[in-house]
Amino acid sequence: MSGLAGLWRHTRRSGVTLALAMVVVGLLADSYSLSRIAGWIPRSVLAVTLGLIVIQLGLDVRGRMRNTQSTPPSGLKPGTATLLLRVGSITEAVAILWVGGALLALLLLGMTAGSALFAFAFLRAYAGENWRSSGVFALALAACVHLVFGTVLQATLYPGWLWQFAR
Amino acid sequence: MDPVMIDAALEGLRLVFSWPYILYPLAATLIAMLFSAAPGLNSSTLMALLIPLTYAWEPLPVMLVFGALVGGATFMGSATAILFNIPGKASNAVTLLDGYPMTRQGQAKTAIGCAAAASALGSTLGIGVLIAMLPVMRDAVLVLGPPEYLMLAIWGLTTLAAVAGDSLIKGLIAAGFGLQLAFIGYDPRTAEPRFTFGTEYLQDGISLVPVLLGLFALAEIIDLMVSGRETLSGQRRMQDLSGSVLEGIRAVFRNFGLFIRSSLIGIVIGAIPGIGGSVAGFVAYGHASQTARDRSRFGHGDIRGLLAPEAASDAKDGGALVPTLALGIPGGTGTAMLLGALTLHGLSPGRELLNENLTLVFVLIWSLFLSNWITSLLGLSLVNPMARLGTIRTSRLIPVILALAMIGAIQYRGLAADAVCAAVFGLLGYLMKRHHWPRVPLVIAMSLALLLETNLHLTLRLQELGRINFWSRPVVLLLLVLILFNLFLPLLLRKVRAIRAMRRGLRS
Repeated sequence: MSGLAGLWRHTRRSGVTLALAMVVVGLLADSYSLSRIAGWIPRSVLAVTLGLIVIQLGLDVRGRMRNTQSTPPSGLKPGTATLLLRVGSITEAVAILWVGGALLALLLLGMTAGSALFAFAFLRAYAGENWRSSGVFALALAACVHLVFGTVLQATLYPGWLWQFAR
Repeated sequence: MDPVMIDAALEGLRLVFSWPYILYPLAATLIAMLFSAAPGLNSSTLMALLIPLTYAWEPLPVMLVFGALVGGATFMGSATAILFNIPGKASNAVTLLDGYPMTRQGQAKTAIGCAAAASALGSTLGIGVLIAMLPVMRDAVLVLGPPEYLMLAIWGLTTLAAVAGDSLIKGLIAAGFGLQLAFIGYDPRTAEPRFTFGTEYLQDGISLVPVLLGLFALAEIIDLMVSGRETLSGQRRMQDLSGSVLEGIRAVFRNFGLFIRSSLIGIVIGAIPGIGGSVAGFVAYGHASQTARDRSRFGHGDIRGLLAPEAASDAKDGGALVPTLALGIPGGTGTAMLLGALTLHGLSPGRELLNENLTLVFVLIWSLFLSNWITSLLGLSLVNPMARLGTIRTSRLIPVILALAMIGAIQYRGLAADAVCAAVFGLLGYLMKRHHWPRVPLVIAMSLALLLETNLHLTLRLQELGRINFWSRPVVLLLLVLILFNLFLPLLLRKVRAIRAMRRGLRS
């Protein structure tokens, strides 16, 4: 179990490097479909970036090997570090889901209604506020968005996919 | 100074402060401040909206309004960057590097005070230089060609060394990735689509605004939720916030040498057409961090890291008017809009404008000056309400910031897909922050990519045709020295410090 936790921790540490490596390799492969004139600068940049990513991965591995023998911080029982990591991951996933929820609300319902719905759901479910204060805050936010962007700045507010579909 | 110029300057000043003309710059500044406080919207958008409205106006009010719009928007973008980590535009991305950590340490008042003072004084210096340069600016701007632009783009990229933090390799990878993002879309020479994977959205390229909003604002929201911080500053009451406006203003005078150098960087870069304000801020930040004795606080709330880009960003407005007025070449989007408004009213930039309509030129300059000061003074008077935002519960702030960031992303180009793009970069930004990857190099590289690529192609072609000799151009050589200075000074200083420490150790 601790071996799995260790593997997870190491993967998380190099996650960004690995993700970037995959994107860069994909783009490098795609760059060969371009003409010589359009492709030589992006290809050169990609090749250098990939080289640097390899160096960074090497540094990550070296750092990992050095830390293999390191013990958990004093005062923590052997399983506590794994537990803290798991709690951290859940919190991160929840935060990312809320951002995704905001995106979805705005795309489906538009700027005014979407921001109001998201604010209400967030305050009620995440912050634990009561129905009334959540509702008042959500309505105030929607009014501000409409007033500032729509009325004062004369910007065209995105109506939302559902409204467009309904029309 | 030429007596004709002095007369025109005084007449311009009189007109700006005369009734009812004073109302034009005042109103324009207030509207620009409001506009630029909303992420994704900036003075360029506002100018684009106002050009058709001013069609029937006389040239004088047009100059007053557009002068104020050029200068009135910079500070508010910095305020949102300092308070919420939301950069209004690319040039504010560097402000948040040290501005936002100061807010998190409860020093929002000091940060806003410093930004306002650096902004007002920097713009004053920029305008002073613009006035002094008016007689000679035509010749000065014509010296620059593609090789100089190429070197300037590389100079901007070398600031990576300063913003990359502890890991230069990570910074370089982020920059490489940023360059690559900017290559998405049509090739500037062959108009061939690159890395679009057949999607319509990617054909226009990835816009910098959703990337900025995602990398900084949305990433910060995720971080706030994960960290469980109750308020942004960590304090619940205003009385508990440390720092003061006066302390921020004093910081400008305490680092006056840095302020002057950063403003000069802003003026020079602003005067070069097509470079824009973001490079000025990045270069100034790089300069501040590389010339500082103690670099350890940079990126963690060092006031010098806030002062330098603020001074440069505002000083560049004066510089940006040099090529616009003298040659009709806009320095950035804002000055391009200004140029459009001038042309619409029959005012042709160049010799005609500078000789026959010199008073109008000074009206524009004084209006810019006035709007910069109004913005800073208003900003200072609003310090307390702005700092109070740092004591509001994050659970209340998160939905507001999140909605504003998403709306800003959509509003910029009117594309809902930009909100998805911002969310993707929000996740990337959070992961980068979590794993100590610098995010600013990605932004610097993205904003410099087009300049770099176009001028690299042009320089190589001109060299190939024998039209230029790259190595015999004095400005190129000067920029090369500056690039080497940027790259190797930190290494040299580190070595000198290590040797000194070793000597001290031996003595003791």
